[in-house]
Amino acid sequence: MKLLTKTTLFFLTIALFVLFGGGIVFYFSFRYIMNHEVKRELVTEMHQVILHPPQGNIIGIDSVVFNLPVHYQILPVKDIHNPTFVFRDTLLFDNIMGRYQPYRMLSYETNLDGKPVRISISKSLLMSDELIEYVAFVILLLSLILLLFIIAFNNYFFSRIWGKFFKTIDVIKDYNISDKKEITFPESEITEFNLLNQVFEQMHERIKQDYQNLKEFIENISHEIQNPLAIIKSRVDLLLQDEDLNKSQTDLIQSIQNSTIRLSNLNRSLILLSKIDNNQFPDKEEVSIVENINYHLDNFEDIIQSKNITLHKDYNNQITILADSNLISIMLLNLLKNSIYHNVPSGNIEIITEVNKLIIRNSGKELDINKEDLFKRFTKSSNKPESLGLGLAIVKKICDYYHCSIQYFCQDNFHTITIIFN
Amino acid sequence: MKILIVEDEIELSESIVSYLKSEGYLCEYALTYDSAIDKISLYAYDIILVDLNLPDGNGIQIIRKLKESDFKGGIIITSARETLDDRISGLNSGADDYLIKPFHLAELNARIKSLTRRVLFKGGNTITLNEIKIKPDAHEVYIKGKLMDLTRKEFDLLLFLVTNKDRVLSKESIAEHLWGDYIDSADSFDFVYAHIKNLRKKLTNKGVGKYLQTVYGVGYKFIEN
Repeated sequence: MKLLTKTTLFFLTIALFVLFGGGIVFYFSFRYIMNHEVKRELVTEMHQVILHPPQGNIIGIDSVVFNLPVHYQILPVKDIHNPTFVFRDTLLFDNIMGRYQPYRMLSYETNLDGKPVRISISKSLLMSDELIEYVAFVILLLSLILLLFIIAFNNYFFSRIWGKFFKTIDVIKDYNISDKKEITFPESEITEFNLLNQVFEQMHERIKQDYQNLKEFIENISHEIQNPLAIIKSRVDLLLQDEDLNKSQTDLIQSIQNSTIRLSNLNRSLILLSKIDNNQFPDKEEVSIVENINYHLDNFEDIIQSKNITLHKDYNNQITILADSNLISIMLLNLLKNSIYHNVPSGNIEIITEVNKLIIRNSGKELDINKEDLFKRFTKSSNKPESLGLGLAIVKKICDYYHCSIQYFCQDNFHTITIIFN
Repeated sequence: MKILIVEDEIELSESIVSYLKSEGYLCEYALTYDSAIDKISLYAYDIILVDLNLPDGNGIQIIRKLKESDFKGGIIITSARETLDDRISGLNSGADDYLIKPFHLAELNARIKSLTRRVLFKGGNTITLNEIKIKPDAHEVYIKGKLMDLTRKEFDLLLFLVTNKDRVLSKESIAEHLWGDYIDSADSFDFVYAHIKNLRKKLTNKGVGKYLQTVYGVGYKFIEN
């Protein structure tokens, strides 16, 4: 649930409770006061009648006088049963309105001119009821307006106050550690948000520092590894010159040599991957994919021939992209190398170019690795344990670097790699 | 022919000296930037190998100093850095070749020989080994005065073997020299074998002696006698 919805609901709930509760309390207390007022008026009225009995022509015994909203009635009774003020609510017929209306009636039994009578004074409740209704309506209206204002103000303040917060979130969302871009958080008048920004900035500084250290460490270690490797390689070369080596010794040397080459290749690949990660290929020039492929195919010529591979080229487009020519060359070299070395004897390779699209298809054994893992580092087929498993990881990395998409798909022992350039 | 090796790894320097000495070169090495500067100001060298990363300086500076002092010999950079930019900046500073570490000593030897021909003999040099005569720049091989038909790779292979004659060349170093990044290490043995077989057949057909020998389990060797 969004914070805005949550706070709005919260405020609305509280407002409803307060308004509803307040409305009830107000209604009843208002009613009480009105009733009390009517009673007081009735009693005053009664006292006037008793103390200053109405003159015959105004009101007499057994007469009814309509003097809206007050209504007098004096009826003779046999005995005085209850000489106290009795209040009750009643409905009396209203001649003017032509229907029954609510009245509050005060009855009192007393002797008037020596005769026992019951004096009833009734006061219409119509006015007070209307007043209550009116007031209740006004309160309801005010409540509604208040609620609308709460929602509107909440929305307004939310966007005003939290806007900076969302800007901070956007900055973090777009944040990429390998980007050299400096990040700046929006200044806010709210202390808590500035605190948040401050914490993020400190965190960013720390991550940047760690990343930089790690990067330098990887670069240094990779370069430092090349030196001992160079020593091993040169020592092995010298050792090979020994005339007295027997077979088991040459086997050992062979094994050392192979491992040295693997380690060296591994190291080179890792340096390359880390360089791409570190955005160390900022150069961009027009690179022709087809020219690049042809250059590599020239160098592969005798290898393709010796494996008796049939090569089909179907160039419908040159495909020129803006990129570092070195990286594109490495990418295409790896792809072509795969299509040749993972092929079958007397196999096929098809290279198709269309607008912004390169397709390389080759015959080959079925994959014994997961299709999903194909582009991951160190994924290699059990058929080729000496392979580094970095070729396609490098290809993928270069594709990502230039925002190209790469897809693999296999059908009938035909492996297809499709790259879509942007 | 005098060679100076500027390389801070003493063991690597020793290996290089040991290999090149038996090729008949006079070798000296400098382990630091300062000692390298001292040596080039005192003595004259024909070829200088420079490592770019030195503990007390940058190899590029040495090359600049050499060029300022009107050095006429050849300069080869040896470095673990292999990006195009590194190579270009190295070659722009005046170096003649750029060799990426780790390298095979046979490869270094071939580069030095090629550089010697290019720089010191202005390309007019021919290599003669008994009845074989190689004109490296023309990519031509003559057997007893008759031009021999070789593919590009066979020519490169023969030149590499002859350059490193009387040395055991591992198939890895041959594969790396001929195909570089294009060869898959798993396939390199078959590949080198196939090319050696073809070359040997062609040489034998032309009546060349059995100079090209197989060193079992390791590689090949081209012997003069």
